[in-house]
Parts: sequence; C-alpha cells; structure tokens
Amino acid sequence: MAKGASGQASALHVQELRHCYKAEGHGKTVPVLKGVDLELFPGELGCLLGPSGCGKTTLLRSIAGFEQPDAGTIHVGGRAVFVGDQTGGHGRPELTLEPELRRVGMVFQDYALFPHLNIQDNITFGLRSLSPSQRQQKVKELAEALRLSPDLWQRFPHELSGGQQQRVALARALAPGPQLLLLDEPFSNLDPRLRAEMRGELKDMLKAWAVTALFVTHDQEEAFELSDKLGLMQDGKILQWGLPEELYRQPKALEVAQFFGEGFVLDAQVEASNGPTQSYQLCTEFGYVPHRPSEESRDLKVFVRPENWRWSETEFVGGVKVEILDRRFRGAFERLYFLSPQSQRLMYLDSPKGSAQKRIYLGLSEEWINIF
Amino acid sequence: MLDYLHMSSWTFFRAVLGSFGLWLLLGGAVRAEAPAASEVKSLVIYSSQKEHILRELVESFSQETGVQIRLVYDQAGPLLTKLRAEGASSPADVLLAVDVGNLWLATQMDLLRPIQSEDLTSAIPNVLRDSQGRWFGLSQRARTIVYNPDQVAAEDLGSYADLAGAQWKGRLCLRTSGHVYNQSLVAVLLESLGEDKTLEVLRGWVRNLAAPVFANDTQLIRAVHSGQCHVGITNSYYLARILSDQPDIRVQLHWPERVHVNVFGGGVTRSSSQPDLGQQFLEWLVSESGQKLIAQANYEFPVREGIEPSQIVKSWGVFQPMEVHLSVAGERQSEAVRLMDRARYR
Amino acid sequence: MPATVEKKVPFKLRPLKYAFVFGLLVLLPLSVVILSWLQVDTELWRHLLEHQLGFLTLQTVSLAVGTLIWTGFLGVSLAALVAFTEFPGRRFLSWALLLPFALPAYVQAFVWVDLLDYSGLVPTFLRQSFGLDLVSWPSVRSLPGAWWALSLSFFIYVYLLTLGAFYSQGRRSLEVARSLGYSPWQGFWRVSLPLAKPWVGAGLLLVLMEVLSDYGTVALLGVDSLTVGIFRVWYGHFSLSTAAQLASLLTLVVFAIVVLESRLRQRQRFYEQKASGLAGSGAQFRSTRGLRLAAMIFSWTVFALAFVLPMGRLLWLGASVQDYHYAWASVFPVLLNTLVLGGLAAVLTALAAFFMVADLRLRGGGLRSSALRLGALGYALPGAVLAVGVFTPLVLLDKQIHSLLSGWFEGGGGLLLTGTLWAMLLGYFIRFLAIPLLSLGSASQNLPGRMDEAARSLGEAEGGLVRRLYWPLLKKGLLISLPLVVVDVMKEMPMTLMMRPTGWDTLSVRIFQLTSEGLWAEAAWPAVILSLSAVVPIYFFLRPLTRVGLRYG
Repeated sequence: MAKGASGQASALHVQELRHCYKAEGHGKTVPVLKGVDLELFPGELGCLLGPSGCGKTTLLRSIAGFEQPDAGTIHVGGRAVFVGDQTGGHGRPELTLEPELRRVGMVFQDYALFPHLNIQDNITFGLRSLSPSQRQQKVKELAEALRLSPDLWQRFPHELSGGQQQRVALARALAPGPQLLLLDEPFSNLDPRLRAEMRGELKDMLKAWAVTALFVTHDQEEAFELSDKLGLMQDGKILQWGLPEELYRQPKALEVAQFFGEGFVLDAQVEASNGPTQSYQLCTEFGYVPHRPSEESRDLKVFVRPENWRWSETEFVGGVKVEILDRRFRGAFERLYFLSPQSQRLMYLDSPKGSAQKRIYLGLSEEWINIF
Repeated sequence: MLDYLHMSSWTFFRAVLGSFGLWLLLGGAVRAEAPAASEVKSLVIYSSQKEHILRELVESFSQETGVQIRLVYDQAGPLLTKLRAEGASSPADVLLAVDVGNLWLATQMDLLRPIQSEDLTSAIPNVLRDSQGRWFGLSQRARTIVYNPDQVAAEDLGSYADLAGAQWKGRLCLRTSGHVYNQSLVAVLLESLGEDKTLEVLRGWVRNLAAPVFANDTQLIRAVHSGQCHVGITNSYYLARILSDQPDIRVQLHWPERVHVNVFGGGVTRSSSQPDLGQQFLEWLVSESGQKLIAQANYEFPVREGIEPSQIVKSWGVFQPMEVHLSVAGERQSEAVRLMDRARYR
Repeated sequence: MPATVEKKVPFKLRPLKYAFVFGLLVLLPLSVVILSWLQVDTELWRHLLEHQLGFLTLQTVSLAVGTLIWTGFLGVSLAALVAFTEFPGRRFLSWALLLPFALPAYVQAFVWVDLLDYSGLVPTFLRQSFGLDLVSWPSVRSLPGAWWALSLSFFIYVYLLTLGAFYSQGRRSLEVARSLGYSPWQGFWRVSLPLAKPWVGAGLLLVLMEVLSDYGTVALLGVDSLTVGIFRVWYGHFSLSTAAQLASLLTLVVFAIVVLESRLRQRQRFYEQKASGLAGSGAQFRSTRGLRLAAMIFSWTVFALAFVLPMGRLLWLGASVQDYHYAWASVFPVLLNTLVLGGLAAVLTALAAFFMVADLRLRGGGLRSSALRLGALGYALPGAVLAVGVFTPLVLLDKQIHSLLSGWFEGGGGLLLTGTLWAMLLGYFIRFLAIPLLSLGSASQNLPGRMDEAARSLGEAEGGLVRRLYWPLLKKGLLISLPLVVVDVMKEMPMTLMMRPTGWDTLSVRIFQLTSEGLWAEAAWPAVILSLSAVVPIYFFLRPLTRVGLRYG
C-alpha cells in the first residue's frame, strides 16, 4: 500500500509509468510516457498541465485503464490497479484491472454522453445495483448539486447546451461514487465566459463532495484556479509535481519557470569571491549575486520574474541604472519596459502609483530569483 | 435475447443444446414429408428438365404403376456436381437431362450405370443412345432454322453453314454461344465440317448478325417476327409453344437438309439402390403411351417410330437428322466453345 | 459521497470472444474454390487468356463502374431529397422507394427488354402506329441497358444506408454548417455527404458484390461479365475447377476492394464526431417551388420506373395466361416456407454480425477485423459456385457421419445434413452475412470509442457494454439488414436449388424454371406474388426506419 509522506494513504499514486506507442507501418515504437510519478491525497484536486502531445491524455487513459502501459505501477485508493512487467522487458503486466473494476470515473473532452439515453438514464448508467427509487434519489441529489433542473431529465443529450451536457457528464461520472475522477480537458468545448463560470462551480462541487480528481488541461489559468496539486508535463515526463506556488516560486527546471507566468533569463558566470571563507558569486549584467558553493559549473542561468526586481529611484548597491522605454497601463499594475545593459528588452511590473521617473535603478534580489 | 451474457454456463449450455435440438426437429419435420420408405415404392429423379414440363409425365407414371416420384430439379452443372459429391450415398435413382452434352459428361464422371433393356434399344435409334446403355434419348429436340416469310423466300434457305454467306449480312439472329444447345450444334458441325470450315462458318455467322446475341430462343423468335432479323436458329419446340398461343406470328420453320437433333434423355444412376425401378421408368417413357405424353408435353419429336407428334409439329413435316452419333456433342463441346471464342461469337 | 459501485466478478464464460468464427465460415466454400488450384488445366487457361479474359475483364469493369455510378447517384440523391426536402409524397416514397428491391434483378431486366428491345412493346408500337423504321434503335441488351436495370434493382442499398446516415446525423451537422455560413447546398456537399461516406461506401460495396456475382441479369442483357465467363467455363468446357479458379480470382479482387475500402474509411474515422441525434422533422432546405417540383418529379419517376412499371407489365402479362395451375399450385405454403426460412436466416445473420462487430469493438485485433472482412465475401461469389462450395464439404462430412453410423445400425440413416433445412440455412447464412456485417460495420464505425470508455469507467464490463450500449445503438443497423436478408433469401435461387430438401419449393425457383424456358407470362404471377410478399417485410421493418421515428442515430 502506497503511503504519502504524511502517512496518509494516497488516493492516487503513479510510479515510474512508461508507455510506448507502436508507430503505424514501420515497427518503430514512440515513447509517450517516460517514467511518470505523481501522487494525490484524498480530496485533492490535481492538475496536469502541458502542451498537446506531451502525453498527459495518455497518462489519464492509463489511469482509467484504457491504455496499458509498458511498465510502472498505478494505485487507486491504495489498491493496485496496474503493476507493470517487473522484468523490464515489454512483457505482460503482472496485474492490470479492467477499467470497469477500477472505480475511476472519467469526464471526457467531448462528454461522450450516450445518445440513446435521456439525461436521467445517462446519469444512472453506472448504478446498476440500485433500486429505481434509489436511483431517482441519486439523480435528484446530483442534479440539484449540479443545477440540472428536473425538466431536463427526460431530454436527450443533443437537446442540451454545452454547459448542461458537461454537467450531465460530470453527474454521470460522479454517480457511482468513484474513488478518483479523471477529467480530460473538461472545459475545452465551452465558450470562455461559460468556462470561467463552470470552473468555479466545478471546484466548489468537487470540494463539497470531497472528490479526488485529476484533470488535464493546457490552460494555465484554469490549472492555477482549480488545483491543489499541479504538474507540468513535457515530452512524456512530469517536470515537477507539487503545490501551484511551488511550481511558480521554486521551479525545479527552467522549463517549469518559463512555462508559468513571465520571466527573463540572464546569463551568469560563477566566480569565486575573495573573502576569508571560500564563497562564490554569480556575475550577471545586473551585477553580482551571492551563490552557494559546491557548484561546479561555470555558466548558469538566472531566471527573474517581472515582479521580482529590486528597484529604487536612487542608486543602491548592486543596482544598475536603466532607462524606461515604455509603460503600459494594466489597471492593477503597470508594465514597464527597459533595456538591460546588454540591450535585452526586459520588463518589470509596477503599481500605477509608483515612479514616474524616466530612469530608475534595478537589481536582483537573492531570495527572489531562480538559478539553473 | 442477449441475456445469455449473464447466464451461468450451464444455462447457456442448455440454451445451445435446446436450439440445436430445435434445428434438428426443423430439419426432421421436412424430411418426414417424404413417405415412409417401405410402404410405397418411390423413385428419386434428378432432373435438369423443368418440373412444369415433367409434371404430367410423372403423374401418369405414378398413377399407372403406383410408384411415387420425387423430382429434384437443378441446372445440369450443379446437379451433376451434387450427384458426384454425394457418390454412393446419393438418393438419386434416375438422372434426366435436356441435352446430350451433360448426359455424356455424366458417363465421363461415371455417374450412370449401363443397363441392358430390349425395350429401350429396340425403340431408340442407335445414334440417340449410349453404346454401353448408360444413357438413352427419350425425345428428340431439333435445332433448326426459322425465318420471317415477309423478308425471306423459303427456297433461299439451305444449311446452317449457308447462313454464313454474304447474302445474310445484317439479317441473322443467334442465341448466345454460352448455351449448351448452340454448343452441341457447333460440336456436331465440327465433326462433319472440320475445324477450319467450322471456324469460317462461325465467323460468317458473327459477321451476319443483325442484333447482339440473344439470351434465349423465345426472344430470338420474337426478333424474327418483328423483322429485326430475317433468319435465326432455334429449337423447334420454342416456336411451337409460341404458335400455340399466337398462331399468326410471322415466323416460319425451315428444315435444313440434315437437321441437328439433341435429346431429352436419361439414365439410371450408379448410386441407385433400385436400378430396376429406374429402368422401368425409362422403359415406360419410351413406351407408346409415354412417348405420346412426351410429344404432347413439350412439342418435341418422339424417339420411337410411329408416334404422332403434336398437331403443330406435324404441320412442319418430317426432317432428316444428321447421322452423327450424339456422344460427339459432348466429346467435342469444349472444342466447340473454343472455336466460338475464337470467332468472337459471344 | 458513499460508494455504490457493486463489486462485479468478471464474467467467466465469454462466448462473444469466439464470434469471429462466424466470419470464418465462409472459408468452407472458399477452401473448395481455392483447392481447385490443385489441378490447373494450363491449356484451357492459355485459351482463356488469349480469347476471353481481356474482354470479360473489360466488360466487368465497365459494368461495375457504370452501375456504381448510377446506383450512387440514384441512392444518394433520393436519400437526400427524402431527408432534407419536402415534397408531395415524401413520406410515402421514403419507404416505397425500397419496393423495387422486391423484384429479382433479372425480372427487372426482362421487363426492360420486353419493353424496349426492338421486338418489344414500345418499338413495336412506334413501328406499327407511325411506320417508323427504327434501324438505329439502340439495343437495351447492352452495357447501358445493364447499368439501367441493375441500378433500378440495387440502388436501394445505397438509398437505405445513406438515408439512415442522413437521419442520424445529417440534419444536425447541416445545421452546424448553415450556422457557419454555408448554403444548404454547400452544407450538403461539404458536411452531410462526407459524414455519410461510410454508409454510402457500404451500400456501394453491397451493390458491387451483387453486380459481380450476378448471372441471370447480365446474361439476359448480353453483357459478358466475369461471372458469365465462369459459367461458360463450367458448363461449356465442363471444367468446374477452372471455373472455381476464375471465381477465386474474382473473390480476391472483391476482398482487395473490401480491405481497401475499410482502409480508406479508417483514415477518416469520425472519432470526434458526436453521435448527436436528429432534430425535428421539418425539412432543412427551404423548399422553393422549383426544388419541390423537381424533387417530386424525380422521386416519383424513379419509383414509377423501378417498381410501378415493371409490376404493371407483369400483371398485364399474367392476365394473359390461362393455365394458372403451376403458378398457383400450393403457392401459399411455399411462400410461408420461404418467409420463415428467410426470417430465420435474417435473424441468424444479424445476430452473428452483431456479435462479430461487438467483439471487434471490445477486443480489436487483426484476426477479428479480417474475419469481419472475410465474412462479407460470401456475397461476392457467383451463387452457383458458392452453392457447390457449401455443398461439397457438407456432403463429405455427411458421408463420414454416414459411414460411422452404418457401423452401429443398418442403413446408417442416409445423409443426415445435406438436404435438410439446417444445411440450407447454413448456405444462406454464408451468402448473406455480408448484408448485416456491412450495415453494422459502418454504424459501429461512427460510434465514438469514447462511448465505450465512458461506460467502462462507469463500471460496465463486456456484457453490459453489449447490452446497454452496442445493442441499443446498433439496433438500427441491424434492423435495416433484416428485411434485406429476408427478401434476398426469397429471391435466392442457385443455393436453394442445390441445398433444398426434396420437395421444398420456393417462388424464385419456380420463376427461374419458367423464365429459363422463356415462359415469361407464366412466370409473371409467381414474380408478382414474390414481389408483393416481399413488400411485407419491407413495410414493417423498413418503413419505421425511413421515418424520423427513432430518436437517435
């Protein structure tokens, strides 16, 4: 049984998952999952973010049981649902549970509602063991929570709007009480306004029912808004899995830093400082930044977000004088553009009440930058 | 209907067993229609002659002898294949065919047994029966020339080969070479004229065609009547059938000097468990009463001498058949088809 | 939230897993055909190559291409008119247009020859009334004549399947197209028709198989297709093995086409396509008077030419016959026999095809999809060749049983299998499995795979998927095939002749015996009765389907 760091049993635990697609025609295989790890605790909302083709949908389908990975393990609610071939070859998995036995619900991108069933029957599809009255009760419960008015229950999927269809899809997936809910790009078929509305609704709903959910999206805003845990996936790997602010503030890779929000990359060289103790510092175009020792490499990158500059109207140690090229008013803040000493066009954020000066001093602050 | 997916395996097994039983019953019910074998004598006839033509014959035989007859009709090709595949287990006692080619083929496949019968050999001329007594011609079917009297003078007509002459350009109608009657005719021509001459005749026929070849003789006779073509080659009984309905049709019959005859004939099968009964049936068919019925049934010419053909047939007078043994039609049929292919006679 | 999913033990006995065996049944006759290659008559082959095959191939290709173009045109245009426009008689014609299927194709051909050939009714009338010479009267017994007659008989395959496609999704997608600024006309070409492609393809494939295996019609119309060549070799050269070799080549070509077609379709699978239902019953083209008039004239003309006129001619012919005896003799028991047998064949093929398609969806794989394609081949073999192919192995088996039983008791009970209805049904099954397979195959192809996954994630296993998804969603494709098979069985001839129990008679057998003797007038009554009784299944099964009656696709 997989245990989380806190000792609590995880709701979903994926370890070292690998999967290849056999390319059509010329018997080559294309790796799509290259060793994926992630963990979700009960009640958490997890989100996989990544460009299309990064393998996030494949991961979702593997968890649901529609794809059979080559290696790795998947536990749902502490129960192993997939244990890959341990011998390392591309043999048969040691254990793979059929999708219908995994108790994993799924909301599809296109909802995949059953066109031959009305809304009520769609929702109760997964409730075979209940009596009709119990089912009715369940529909009522879910429909209420999802704001599906009773006059819709007898309609057919094609008679519903996109938002309603999505609610039905969600209700259908929730009805059997899955241990884990998977959502594949749940909002991509909705228009932007409806998207924002549904997002809030969905989060409230999932939280209220204490559902553990993992969803996939390529929309950052959506990811931040919804998730307790966030993962950035690229090229078959999860680059980082953690709290959203961790990914933003302490990215483990430059790709992660660059994916979320804006920021700039400065070249830096490691130099030994001439002090009593052996210490190092980074030399950038904005001066020196102290650097922990033990770094072997000489050339590094410094990543700085627009809101993380140190600045002042007056000169300060480590500050470099720059000229403001352009200001763009953005309501809550302003974007200020300037040229770095090496003529890189950079930007920082400022509150509108801030400086109106043409020239200011800018510098890097040690605790607010990321070094790679 | 789909509940089996939820059945236990035993229930499923029972369901399968049950349905299989039902099938057997269904099959058995139909077999039960056949009379119990021991009570009444019955004869199974495989026939490529159509049932509606044979019906009267068969009924009167049954009435006279008390023997039940079960007719199995099929086209000759599949029928022979069936008979051969069934082999010794075949229920067939008698094989009937409407052309000599397939009777000959049946002997090649060793499906017919030789029988010695004075009745049969004395009644049927030599050329119309197998020398070993495996098949016997039961009636003659003459393939001859018809013409439209408005466009052709009878004295201009000669033999089949003469129709290849230039004077018939754009005036001749033929049935498709795919039919066995034409294949038999050409096979016999081949025997009497030789390959080169026959090929020449075929090419002449094709050159003279007034219309694409016809699928059957009836269409051809109508085309002659309508004037689309002036002469054609057909079996005489087709004309007789039409004449019995429409006496004033503008088509007349011409006998070439030597007429090609085919036979409706039959033999007793190797598989028969009661060859005597089969032989009895054949003998009855060439008896006077049988021959009369055959002559009436399909306007054909009896094989037995001295039997009156039907009224219409009688009006055409007598003809001289070719003196080629009919087996030739079978032996050289494939050769004949090849020649027709080469002449582009479709 | 409480967990309510039942713990279901996976179903242990999975008979569905072996459904593909149904498709492999066709290997029975095919193996006979293929084994014919053990003995090759090189001399005959040389002759055929030199004098026959080139011409036959050319004729066959022209025949197939022309007929496919015509049936495609008739089928798709009529389906579009019925589905998308409004004109007087639309509701009636929506199912009545299926009636021509009740006429055997060779009867259809006969009527047109009877009417239009030089000695036929129309030219005779023109000659006699107006003294016209008509030297250059075009012959109906020609390739165009065959295109015409075959198309009038077979366009309904395309019509029926395409209409189903238009109903199940055409309207909705047409609405989408119109909302995107397409005119109805553009929308039809750019959206509705492309979406209906799998169905049109399946329909055309059935037509192609009919055309390639047809003998009676093309022979009557003087077109030398390969099938005519096959029979010429068999009956003319007495060489069943060479005929079977030719047939195996023909089958190979058909198999290649079947594979190619499904490859093409796979390329453009409509995975993302929502299986949304149809909206409303109103017509989608705002019918201008001109369009309405054109639609009405066109549809009614096709109906009149393909059904009313041939039936009228048959009735007229039948009225001139005095001796009804053979035509009427015990016709009703015979008819009932045929209907029951046809019904059984239809249900069996439909269920087998359903299980095969379901099994393929559940498990996929090369074996299962090959079985699906193989299963369709029975329809492409010339009838008599297929009959021999089914009969021969069956009788061999029978003889084995016979010799086994003879050891136990005297007589051994004769041949137990051959000559039973069971054997006949097996033959029909192999021949007509293609119809439900193709119609179900295309229906299944447009069913998004996500649907299966959704159901599985909701806890349904194999049985549940079959029962709660495939059955309700594919039922319609299944229902379409039922009457088609019933009517096809009623019209079937060579298999019936070879496999029937003694004394078992069908109308088509009677019609064939009479017409092959040129007795068309006498054959008219059985033909009319056959057609009218075929109306029954068409009316009851197909009429509801051509209505906007079902709420889903």
